[in-house]
Amino acid sequence: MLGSNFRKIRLERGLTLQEAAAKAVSVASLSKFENEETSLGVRKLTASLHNMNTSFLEYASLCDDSTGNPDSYLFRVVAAYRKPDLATLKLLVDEQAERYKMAGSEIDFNDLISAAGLYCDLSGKNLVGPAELKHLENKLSHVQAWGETEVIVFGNGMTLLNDETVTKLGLDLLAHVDDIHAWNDALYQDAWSALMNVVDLLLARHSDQVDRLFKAIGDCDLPEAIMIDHFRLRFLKDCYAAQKQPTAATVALVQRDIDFLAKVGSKRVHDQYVRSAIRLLGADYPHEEA
Amino acid sequence: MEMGAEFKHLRELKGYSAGAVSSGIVTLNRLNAFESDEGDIPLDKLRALLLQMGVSLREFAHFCERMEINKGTLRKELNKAYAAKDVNRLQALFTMLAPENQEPQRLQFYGRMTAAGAYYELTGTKLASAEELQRLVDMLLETVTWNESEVSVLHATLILMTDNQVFMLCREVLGSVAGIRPWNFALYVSAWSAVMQGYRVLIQRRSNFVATLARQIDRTEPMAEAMLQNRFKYIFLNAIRAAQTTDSMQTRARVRTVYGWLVPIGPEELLAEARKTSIDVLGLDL
Repeated sequence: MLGSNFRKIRLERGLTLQEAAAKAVSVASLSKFENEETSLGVRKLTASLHNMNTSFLEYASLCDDSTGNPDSYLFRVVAAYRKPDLATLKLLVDEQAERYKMAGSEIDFNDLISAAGLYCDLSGKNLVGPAELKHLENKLSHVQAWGETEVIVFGNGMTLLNDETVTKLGLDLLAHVDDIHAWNDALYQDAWSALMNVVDLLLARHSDQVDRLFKAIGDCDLPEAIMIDHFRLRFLKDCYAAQKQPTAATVALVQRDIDFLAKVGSKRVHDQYVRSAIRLLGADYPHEEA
Repeated sequence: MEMGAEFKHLRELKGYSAGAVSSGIVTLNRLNAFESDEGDIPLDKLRALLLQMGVSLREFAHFCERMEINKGTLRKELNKAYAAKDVNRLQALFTMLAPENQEPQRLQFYGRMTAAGAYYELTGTKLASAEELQRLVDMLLETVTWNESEVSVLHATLILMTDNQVFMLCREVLGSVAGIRPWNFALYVSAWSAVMQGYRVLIQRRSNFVATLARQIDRTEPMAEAMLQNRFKYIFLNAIRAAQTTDSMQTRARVRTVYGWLVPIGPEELLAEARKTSIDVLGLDL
């Protein structure tokens, strides 16, 4: 995998072994690495990647079984969730539960939680046991620095947790979101997506913790680069107002938000938000039966 | 910070001892040497060490990128000066980032050119020479993989470039967006934002390349549905373009209507940019 992925990138770039190896490593060593016959020193690898004008992150993403490329596990999970295809999602959860049972690595655990959390979001059913839930709660309650793993696990797996824990973790993430912005734009977006998931979940549960969270978030104007989260915050605030006071005027604001998605041609996202409005507002949101 | 030191930093952050992590994978001496950036370790061993801590190779790569702090700091400094319309600061940054020799350091040069682009946007005065600009265009055209640095400097400097250069570079980026999307969505969004900036620049200049770039955009895989800002920009710019071609009540009304969609929900910076484009191109204040 490690070598063949390197070769894949090299061939995509139209480079020869000599060009990729130049001054970094011998052609013979690089060839053996590509054929999975030997490993390659990390520094030699990064120098060779540099020769190919490729970042270590892009290479590592391609090699990641969990996330980062279309064949990876979480990509398949998210695709099944978005369809939504409950049967496939359940198979993916079962498959991952088995893998976690066999290998027991934290990465396997994280993927299991993500898949089970998304499955629970769609079906309301929790497929993980109490020991795993306790481990999840413990793990997220002791985050020292919110990194990609923690944000993804929390963003996907929060449906497995109770309101109070979700709120507490959400507030902790919110307190660190600007720190994340200082060093990682992609993670900053993921963090806001996770925070919007928190609001969405609490609204769906009609939790009394929602106010706390909205107060903490305040009237922030999120950057254009993450407009989807800016939009979602607006939508959730309008849904909250309509939940509290379901009048024609408040529901019309929700509809206005959803209409924007149709206007910019985001059909699939539009349909997701219609489903979301139905889930959050029930009969107060006028809709035809699907 | 080198990769070994990054690894050590991450290990300590996760609360693992060197002995616990290295156990059964590499000797403690070898790990210590790697962490001190004095020795190398094979990639498969690095992956196994990371796995002990529940960290993927990809997450470690992200962690390492975080420490390319100079890149981020400079970019943020430039953005801050631009947002505050601090032209003196932009000029100072442009001067400060002057190359010390004939082979300028890439990121420093990008920073200098970004300052020049932002300065021009605010004052209409060009700080960078034609030679420097050509050097930048050549560097970007040689780019095999577009990353944050390249996309960011392109976005800032399109306004300085000739129509042909704008078109060529936007076409290059368009050729890369589909490949970027699966592994870095934030970069994918930035790449499309740069293309929209190029489209905006060409429309403002009433360039003959506008139609060609639009065709190129339409031929590219459709923008991700979740990328609302760039989907909106494209529709809005097309409305502007239609009003520019046929200035009538209807075409102007369409510009107002499209802008109106955004008013209740749009981020401030996107609203401001749309308003400015309308004023610049049509003299129409929204």
